Amino acid sequence: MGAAVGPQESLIAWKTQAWTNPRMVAWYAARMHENKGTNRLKNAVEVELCRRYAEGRRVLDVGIGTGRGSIPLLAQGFQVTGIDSSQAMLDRCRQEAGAAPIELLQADLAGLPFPDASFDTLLSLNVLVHFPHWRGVLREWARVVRPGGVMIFDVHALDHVEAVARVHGVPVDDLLAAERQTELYALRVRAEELVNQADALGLAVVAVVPYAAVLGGGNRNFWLDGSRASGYLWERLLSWMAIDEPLFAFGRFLEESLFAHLTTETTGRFMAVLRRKSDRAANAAWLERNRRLNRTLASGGLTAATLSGLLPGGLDAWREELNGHLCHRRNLLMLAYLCTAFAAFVEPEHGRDLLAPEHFADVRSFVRKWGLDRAAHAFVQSWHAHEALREPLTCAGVPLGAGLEYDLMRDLLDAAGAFAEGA
Amino acid sequence: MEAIVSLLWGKNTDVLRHYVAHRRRLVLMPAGFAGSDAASARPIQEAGGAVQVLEMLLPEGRIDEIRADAGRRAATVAHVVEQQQWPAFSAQLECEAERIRGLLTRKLEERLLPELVLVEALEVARRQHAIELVVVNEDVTSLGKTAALWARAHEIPVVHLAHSEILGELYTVHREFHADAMLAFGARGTEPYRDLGIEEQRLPVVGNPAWDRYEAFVAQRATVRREVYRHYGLNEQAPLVLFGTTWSARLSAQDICDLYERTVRAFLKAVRIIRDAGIGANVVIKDRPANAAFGKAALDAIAAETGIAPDAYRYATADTEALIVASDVVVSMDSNLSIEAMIAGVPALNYWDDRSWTLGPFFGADDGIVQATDSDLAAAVAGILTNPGFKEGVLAGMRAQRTRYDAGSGAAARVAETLARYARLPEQAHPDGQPAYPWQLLSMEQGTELHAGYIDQPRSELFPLFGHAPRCVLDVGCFTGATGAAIKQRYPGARVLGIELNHAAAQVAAGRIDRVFERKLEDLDFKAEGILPGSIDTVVLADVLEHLYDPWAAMLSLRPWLAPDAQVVASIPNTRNLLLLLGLAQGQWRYEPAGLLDVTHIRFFTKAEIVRFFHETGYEVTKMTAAPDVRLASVVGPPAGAAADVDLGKIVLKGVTHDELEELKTLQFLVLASPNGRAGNTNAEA
Repeated sequence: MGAAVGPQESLIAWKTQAWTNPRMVAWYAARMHENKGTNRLKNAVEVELCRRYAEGRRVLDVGIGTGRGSIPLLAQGFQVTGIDSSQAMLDRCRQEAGAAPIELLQADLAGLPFPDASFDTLLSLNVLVHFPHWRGVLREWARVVRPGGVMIFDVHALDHVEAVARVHGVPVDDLLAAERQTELYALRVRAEELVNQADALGLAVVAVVPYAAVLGGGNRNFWLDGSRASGYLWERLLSWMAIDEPLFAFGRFLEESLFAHLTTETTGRFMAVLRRKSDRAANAAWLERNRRLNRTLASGGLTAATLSGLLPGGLDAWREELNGHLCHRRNLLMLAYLCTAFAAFVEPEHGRDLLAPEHFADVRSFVRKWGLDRAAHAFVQSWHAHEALREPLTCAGVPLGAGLEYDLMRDLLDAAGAFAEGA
Repeated sequence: MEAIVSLLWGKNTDVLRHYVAHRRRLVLMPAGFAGSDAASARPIQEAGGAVQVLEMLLPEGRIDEIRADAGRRAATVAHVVEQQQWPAFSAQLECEAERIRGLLTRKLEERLLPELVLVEALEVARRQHAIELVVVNEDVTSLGKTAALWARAHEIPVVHLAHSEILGELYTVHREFHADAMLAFGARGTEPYRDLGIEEQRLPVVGNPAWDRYEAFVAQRATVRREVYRHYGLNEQAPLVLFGTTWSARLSAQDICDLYERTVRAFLKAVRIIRDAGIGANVVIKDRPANAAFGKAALDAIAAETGIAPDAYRYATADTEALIVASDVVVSMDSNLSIEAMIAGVPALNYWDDRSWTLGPFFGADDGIVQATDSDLAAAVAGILTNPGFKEGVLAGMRAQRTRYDAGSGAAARVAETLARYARLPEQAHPDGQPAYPWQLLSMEQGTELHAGYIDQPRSELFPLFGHAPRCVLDVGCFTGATGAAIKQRYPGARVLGIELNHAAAQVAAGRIDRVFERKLEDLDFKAEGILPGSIDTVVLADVLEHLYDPWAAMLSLRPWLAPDAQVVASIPNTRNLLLLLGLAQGQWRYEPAGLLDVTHIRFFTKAEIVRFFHETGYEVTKMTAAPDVRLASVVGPPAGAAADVDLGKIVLKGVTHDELEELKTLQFLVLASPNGRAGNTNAEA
C-alpha cells in the first residue's frame, strides 16, 4: 500500500493475485472438470487449437492453471514447462498431471525466468484476456521463443464489438459497459492492433482463429443479442451440450468448421498463432484478407460460393457433414435460433444451397412461424389504436381493445393457418 | 373502509386471508374469483375482512343497459373496421382483410360485455372506497388485463401474482407486462421475464401460496397414500405412476395441435413396455378439470391404439397434491407438476417431445429435472421403480435445485406482506423541508397541508373574459376559494361552488364560498349533490386542465350541468413557448416544482390545440388573451403584417410573423369558451 498505484497497475495486480486464493483455484478447477453447459465445448475447441499449432519439443505454458492446454501435449512427447503466479494453482496442476513429467515454476507472466529463445512453442490459454498491458507481455513472451517458434494465445475481439455496434446502431461503450468493471475486465484487441504489434515485435501471423460463436455465458457473441439465440432461453438450449452428444458435436462443428474459417468480426474471441519471424508483407496480406472477408460477409452474406472458398475440405463434404448433424432435431432448432440472429446477413434463400431440402423446409417453417407470432401479436395490439375506435373501445379511460387481444390472438393464428400445417 | 380489488383465483384465497388479518380491509372481486362464493369468503371474513362481489355494486337492470352499450360499441367498431384494409398485416399473415374483419367483430359484443361490466363496477367501487391495491393472478386475458389497465389509469398499484411457474419462453400475448410487479415462485420463474428485459426488482421471488399445502400432505404421506389407493381402487402391492396431461394453448404458431394425444400416446407406450417387462405398476392419468366431460373417452381411444385396456389405468381431474404425494414417479411434459413433485420429494420425469422444442427447452440440463424422450421414457420410469440408486440420484438432483423453483412454505403470508408493501400508503404527512427533486413532490401525500407552489390569490385576470355576470359558478380546483370570494364580491348574488382535493385548502375555501366538494371532477355526482342540469352558467378552470389525465372526459362530463349560455373561463400554460422550444432543442425538458414544466403537468397544449380541445369536446373558444412570459420581454420581432426569422442560437425559426411571435412569447392563454350546441356529440368532426 502507500505508493500511488494507477488504475492499470491495480487491475494487473488484482488479476495476478486473484488466483493465489485457494478457493478461487478450487472453483476454477471444478469448472474445468465439470462438463457443465458449454465449458466442455470451450475446452474442446481451445485444447484442440493448442494441439494443432504446437511445434517442436519444448513448450512453455504461461499461466498454466490446471494444465488443461498442455497436459494433453505431454502424451504426444512434448516437454512442458508451466508457470503461474499462484502456487496453489501449480499444486493443482501437478495433481492433474499425475505421473507425467512436467516442470512447474511460480513466476510472473511479464518477467519470465528463462533465457532468450528457450522454447519452441509458447502457449497461454485465457491469460492475456485479463491484462491491459498485453503489448509488453507479448514482447516478453516473444523473447523466450526461439526464432521460428510459435506463440498461441487467445484474446477477445474488439472488431467484433465494433462491427455489431455499427450494424445494430448501439454505441460500443454501451455494449462494453459490463466489461469496464474491474472484476469483469476483458482485454479486447482489434485485428489491426494485433498485426501492428506483431510487426513491431518481428512476429508473423500463422493463424487467427475466431471462436466462441456459440459458447454463451461469459463468452458473449454480440451478434446474437436480442435474437432467439440469447438470454436464458439460449443458455437452456446450450446447457444440453454437456450431455447431449449430437448437440455437442454440432456445437463443435459450428465452432471448428464454420466460425473458425470466418473473421475476427464474427465471433467475440479468437486464438492468435504467431511465429517468431519477421514478415510484414504476409501480415499485411492476412489483414487485407480479413478486411475483404468482413466486407463480403457484411454485404452479401454467407453464400455457398463464399463458403466454398473458405472451407479447406471443400463445400460438398462440409455440406454433407452439416446435414448429417441436422438430422438431430435439437441441432436443427439450434441452427434456426442462430438464423434469427443473422437474418440480416444470410438471405433465407441461400440456405437452399447449403441445407438438404427437408432441413431447409423445417428451418424456414420455424422462422416463418416466429414471424407469424410477431406479426399476429403486433396486429392484435395495434388494430384497436385506430383513432375512430378510441371512443367505442374506451371506458372510463380504460382501453377495452387490450382485453380482446388474448382471444383474438387464437382466432387470428387459426385464420392464418398456423395450425393447419403439420397437424 | 380501505379496500383492495382482487382477481386472485380460488387457490390463492389464503393470501387474502393473511392480507386482511393484519389490516382490516374490504376485498372486492368479480364473481368467480376467490372470495366471491360463500366457501372462499368465509376464511376472509373470519380473519376480519369484508368481501364484496363487484358486479353487485351495479344497480339492478344496469347489466342490461351495459349489454346494450356493448352492442352499440360493437356496431361502431364493425362500422369502422369495415373501412379498413390492413394491407401490410394481410400480407404478413397471408389472411385476407375480409377474413380479419370477420375475426375482429366476431362475438365482439359478448367479449366487450364482461370488460364493460368490470370497469363500471370498479368505477363505482372507486367512488365508494379508497382502493389501495389491485392484485391479479394473470394480466393477459380479458378481465385480468382490463383490471390491470384500469388500475394503471387511476394510478392504483397493481401486482400480478403468478399462477404458475413460467419455465419456457413467453410468447405473443404473454410478452406483455402490465402490472407494477409480478410475484414469482422462484428465481427460475423470473428467467423468461428477464429475457423480455423486465428488471429484476419488478420480479420479487416470494413462493407459491398454493404450494403451501404440500407441507401437510407430505407430513401425512402414508395416510394420503392409503386414501388415494382406496379412492382410485389401486393395487396396494404395486407402486403408482402418475402422468399429467398437457395441452396446446394455440397462442403461438409454434403450438402443436395434437400435443395432448402425442404425449399421452408416448406415455402409454412406455407403460406397455414396462408391463411387458413384468414390472407391476398402478397408473393414474391426471387430466385438466376442463377435460372432465370427455377426457376419459379420449384417453381410452388412444389407449386402445397403444394396446392398453381402458381399465389398466385410472382417470383423475382433481386431487393433484394427494396424487403427487402418493406417487412413486410423476411424468409430465414441461409442467409445474415436476416442480410440485420436487416439493413433495417424489421423482419426476419430464417427457421431451422434440417437436415441442420450437418454444425452447423448458428445462436446461442443470435444472434438476430428468428428461426422457420417446426412446428412453420406459427405461427411466422402470429405473426409478426398480433401481434405488437411480431413484436416489434423481431425487438428489431435484433437491439440489429446489430453491431455484420455490421459495418454500409459508408463501401465502409472504405474498400478503409483499402485496401490502405495494399498496398505496395510507395518508401521512410529508416530511419537513423541500424535496431535493421536483418529482419527489409526486409521491408526497397531497391534501394535508398547503402546497407552497400555489398562492392564496384570486385569479382576477380571468374576470375580463366574462361575457355576462356569473350567476352560478363552478370553480374547478378552487384551492382556498380566493377567486370565488372575489367573484362573490364583484358580482353580488353569484353562487360559487368549488372542487378541491387538497383538504387544508378546501377547509379554508369552505369559509369563503357556498360549497366545496373534496372530490375529483370526474367523481363528482352532481345529481346526488343536488345540482340541477343546466344550472351552472360559469365554469372556472384556472390552471386545471393540464393536470388531468383525461381533460376531454372532464369537459364532456360538465356539459349536462351547464346552462345554454354558459361561459367557461380557463387559463392554460403555453407549450409553444420559445424557452421550451429552445430547451427541447438543447435536449432539455426538465420538470420543475412550478411553472410551464410543473412536475404535476401531464397534458400539454398549444394555442391551436386549445381551440381544438374545446371544439372536440363540444365547446367553441370565443375569446383568447395571452399572459406574456416576462422572461421573453426582450425578444423583438417583425412589425405587424411582416415576417422575420428568429435566431435563438441552437434553433432558428423561419418566417415568424408578429402574431406568431406573440404566441411564442406567451406564458399562458386565458380562454373564454361556450358550449357549441352540439350536446352529446362526442365525435370530432375534424
